[in-house]
Amino acid sequence: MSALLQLDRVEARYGPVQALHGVSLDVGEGELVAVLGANGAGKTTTLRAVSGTVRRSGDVIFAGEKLPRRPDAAARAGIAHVPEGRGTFSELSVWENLRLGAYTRRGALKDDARRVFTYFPRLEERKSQQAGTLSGGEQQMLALGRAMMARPKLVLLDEPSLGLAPMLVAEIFERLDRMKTEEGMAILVVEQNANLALAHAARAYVLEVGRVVLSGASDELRADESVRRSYLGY
Amino acid sequence: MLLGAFTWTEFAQQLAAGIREGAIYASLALAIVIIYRSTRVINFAQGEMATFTTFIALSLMNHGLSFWAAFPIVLVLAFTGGVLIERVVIRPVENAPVITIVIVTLGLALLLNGLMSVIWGGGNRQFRGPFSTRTLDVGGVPISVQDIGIVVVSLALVGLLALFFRFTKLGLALRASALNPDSSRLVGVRVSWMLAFGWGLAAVLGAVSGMMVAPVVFLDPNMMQTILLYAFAAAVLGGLDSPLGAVVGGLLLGVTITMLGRYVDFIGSALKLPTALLLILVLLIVRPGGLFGSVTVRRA
Repeated sequence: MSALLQLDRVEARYGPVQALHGVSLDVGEGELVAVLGANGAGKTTTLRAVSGTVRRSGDVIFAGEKLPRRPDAAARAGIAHVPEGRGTFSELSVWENLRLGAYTRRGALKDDARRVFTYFPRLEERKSQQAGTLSGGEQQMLALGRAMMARPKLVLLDEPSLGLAPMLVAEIFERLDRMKTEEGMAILVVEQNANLALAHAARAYVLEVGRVVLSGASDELRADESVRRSYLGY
Repeated sequence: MLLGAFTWTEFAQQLAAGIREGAIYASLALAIVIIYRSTRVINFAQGEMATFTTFIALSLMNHGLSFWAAFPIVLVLAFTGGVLIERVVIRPVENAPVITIVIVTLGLALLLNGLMSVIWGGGNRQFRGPFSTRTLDVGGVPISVQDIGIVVVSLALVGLLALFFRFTKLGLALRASALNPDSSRLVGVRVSWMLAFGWGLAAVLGAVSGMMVAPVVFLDPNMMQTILLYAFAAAVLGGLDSPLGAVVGGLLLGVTITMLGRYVDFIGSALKLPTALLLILVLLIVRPGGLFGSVTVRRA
């Protein structure tokens, strides 16, 4: 499998605090990969290192080319980052949020919007509503819809399950599967809920204090004694 | 209390004059709001920027161009100048505390003021506007063509801007950068350029208000200073982060001041400004965010 995204010994820091100590990982075309780990392990920072929203060193190679660390470079290269807190423009309407998702693209948005609405019909009903008035689940759908509008090759997703009811979480992950198989998007997802993540991802990386301590196919990780005890809780 | 006899005709005339004043405050207030929304910076150089571009219009007209030929050229130059100022003067202090940037804009105001005196000399200049001062009969009320023209041009520009912000991709990106710069970067918006673009737009608004007001007063380097005060007041009245508020605030302030000056005799023209500011103060005690502004609630 050709790697779409490749991180080679990436370090990242917030001022004097080093958050990543040489993280290497890769994501293949159309692959769903999970990043697991405890709070403060560097999961969010890993995503931010890819999108260039944190000071980083080491190489981030995307589609065969080194990604420059300009804030808009990742988006222009075809990476949609849905950050912690979903990055909703809460004062703008649902439709305006979707329009912003397609900011780096030219051409009509109608077809893409129609596609998004087949995934998330609720968004079509609330098209003209202010995004801040949506429920948590709807905002997560909007975040995914916004990402889809960019027709990205890779979606970076930070804690999609956060604060959502289990039913909704299952629905969101089912949509991620569809985005992967139907749209051919690769997805790198950070998730607290390791059970869920391993059930949907092909592979996963386990981070501890800014380092990859374990990686492999989801089945192998699920069978691993230490993963089971630390992250799966049984 | 009332100065002279009250007639409805005169009242209507005063109302028209108030709206004319208000339209000028509104466009300058909107310029202030556009920059404030995206950076939380009050641009004290807004008045001098407007006067500077009006002087450029004067020079072009002295070289034989008509007002309407000079007008678009001045707007393009104003936009370019606004963008340049942001890139050259503001960008280096972009991440500094707001107060630092505000002081930089004060310095910029002084610099532009000095430049104008050097280039065009200090005295008053007559600026021949595009509209005649002849009056038209509007439903029995004589109103000058100039007043109508100023209102139409100023409000048309405001309307165009509103359409731009609402319906174009660039306008949406500008709003998004002001509301949520981090998320804007993630969808690929070049936020830093959006700030420069905002300065360009603000300069254009200022240029229009300058060219509209210059025929009414006289053109000199300090022309916009009092008007800028009124525009600040209008922006605060409407709510500093609300473009609609800036326009409504401008019109309201223009009409209020004109009416107070004409009909409340102990106010007259000398006490117009303090009275208007007093009214705004009272309003802000009741509504701290202004008429349309949002109030940020912070935990202590």
